[in-house]
Amino acid sequence: MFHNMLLGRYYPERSKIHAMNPIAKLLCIFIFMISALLSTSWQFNIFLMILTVLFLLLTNIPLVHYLRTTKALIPIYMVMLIMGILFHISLFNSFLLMIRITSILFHFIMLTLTTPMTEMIYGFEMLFGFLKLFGFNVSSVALSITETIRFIPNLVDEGNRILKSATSRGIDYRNSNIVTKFMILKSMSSSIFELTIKKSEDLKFAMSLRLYQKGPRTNFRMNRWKVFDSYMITLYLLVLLVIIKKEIMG
Amino acid sequence: MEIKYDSVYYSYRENTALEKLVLEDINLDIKENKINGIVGKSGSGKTTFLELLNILLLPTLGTIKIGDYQIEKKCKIININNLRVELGYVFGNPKHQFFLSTVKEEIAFGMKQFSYKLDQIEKRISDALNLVGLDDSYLEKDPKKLSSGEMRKVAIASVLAFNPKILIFDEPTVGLDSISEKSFLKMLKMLKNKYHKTIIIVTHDMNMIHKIADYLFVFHEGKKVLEGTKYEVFNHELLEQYEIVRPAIMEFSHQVLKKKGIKLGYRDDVNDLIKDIYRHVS
Repeated sequence: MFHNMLLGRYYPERSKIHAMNPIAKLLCIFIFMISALLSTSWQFNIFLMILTVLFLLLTNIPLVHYLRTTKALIPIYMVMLIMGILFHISLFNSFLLMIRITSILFHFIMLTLTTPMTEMIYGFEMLFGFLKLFGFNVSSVALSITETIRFIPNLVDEGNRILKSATSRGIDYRNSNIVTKFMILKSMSSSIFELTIKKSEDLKFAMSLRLYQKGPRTNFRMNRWKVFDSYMITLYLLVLLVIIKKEIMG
Repeated sequence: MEIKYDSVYYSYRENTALEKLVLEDINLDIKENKINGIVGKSGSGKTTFLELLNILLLPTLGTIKIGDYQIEKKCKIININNLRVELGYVFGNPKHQFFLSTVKEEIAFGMKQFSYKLDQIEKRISDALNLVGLDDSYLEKDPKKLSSGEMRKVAIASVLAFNPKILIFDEPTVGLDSISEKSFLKMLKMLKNKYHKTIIIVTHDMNMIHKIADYLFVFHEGKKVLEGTKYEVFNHELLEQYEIVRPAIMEFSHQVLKKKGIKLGYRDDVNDLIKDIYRHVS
């Protein structure tokens, strides 16, 4: 049922974004997050969304895949609208907030779709490597963050398996209305989590068997820094500077 | 209940870079009230074929006819449980079938969805367990913590409990010891002869399918390439090309014919084959 959902999975394709250095990609995302959080005017929010869509097009992945993965955001949008009404936030401001969250999410989806797991771990380790000076175990944290992102397709896969089993014995998920679908998923959620946690434990054992350990490991990938990486970071920094000048300094 | 595949295609992750055509132009009729075997090497599309049959997936192209129902890419079946109650699917990996905490809940699950009465459910749970060679002591156990053989038996029981007309098994004898396998095959024959069930089995175990199947379909790289009685299929000249190994008993007869020119005849059982050999020798 959910086998076409690509959230958290790598999507092999040839594009400028796929070829980017993972450190550059992560830097761009963090800079973008700061820009999105600082921008309050509707003009900048729309501009950031347009910029996001342009970069999504650069990935050569059909936009429909990004839109599919944001179906999961619908409950969050509903909650935001309700909170907006309860706390007397205007609909317009709630809408702007939705645009900011969606554009940040699209960047994260772009990261997972265009970056294999090992590259992502490498990117996190390099970017936060300076924290080792403070005794922080960067390798473990980088692996945990990446595993968390990859946890999502595991959850989806387990959910899919359970749904197939239940469907073969009489649960009509496909033809149910949204309320019934929610009730079905709610009743299976504990089983989904239990099975996914079991899978994570199996992964832990598999990694131990393959002698994974904390500490330095050989990196045999050629993660060269390219001119395009510098262009992208410069562009994102420029956008951030403009937003800071206009929004904060006036 | 008629089951017919008409020019069925299936692709995973359609219209993405990860698209994979798994089944191509499948045309076949499942033989009613018979044991139908589906064989083929790994990755030939057998499990996908079963999932289409059980309406867990919808075909990308083509039509699947099950009784009065037509399953197509964009079809909505009203009262689908009227069809599902007739299809009992036992997953290849029993762990994929279990998501409840006790054996009792697993077996009762299907019956509850199909609106069986509570007093019927209790009785049928015990009957289903007995049929697969287990007793009521298993009722409160966690199915995921059983041995692989016991898990498989519980998976089969959970499907037999709601008495479907069509039984679909994906690798049913994996993990079963030889005695359990014999009693499972005996049970299948009983279900076919006494209860007139249509049985579909997907397997790599040619020795097992040879003992039990009435009709065989051979899949290779997403296509159905051969069909016929087990004698016709296992004696086909292209069998090796499709990477299918003959059952040991047939391979022995085949080798004797090839090397000694002696035709031993088609035998299902080793004892009958030994009698044939003895007859020739004496």
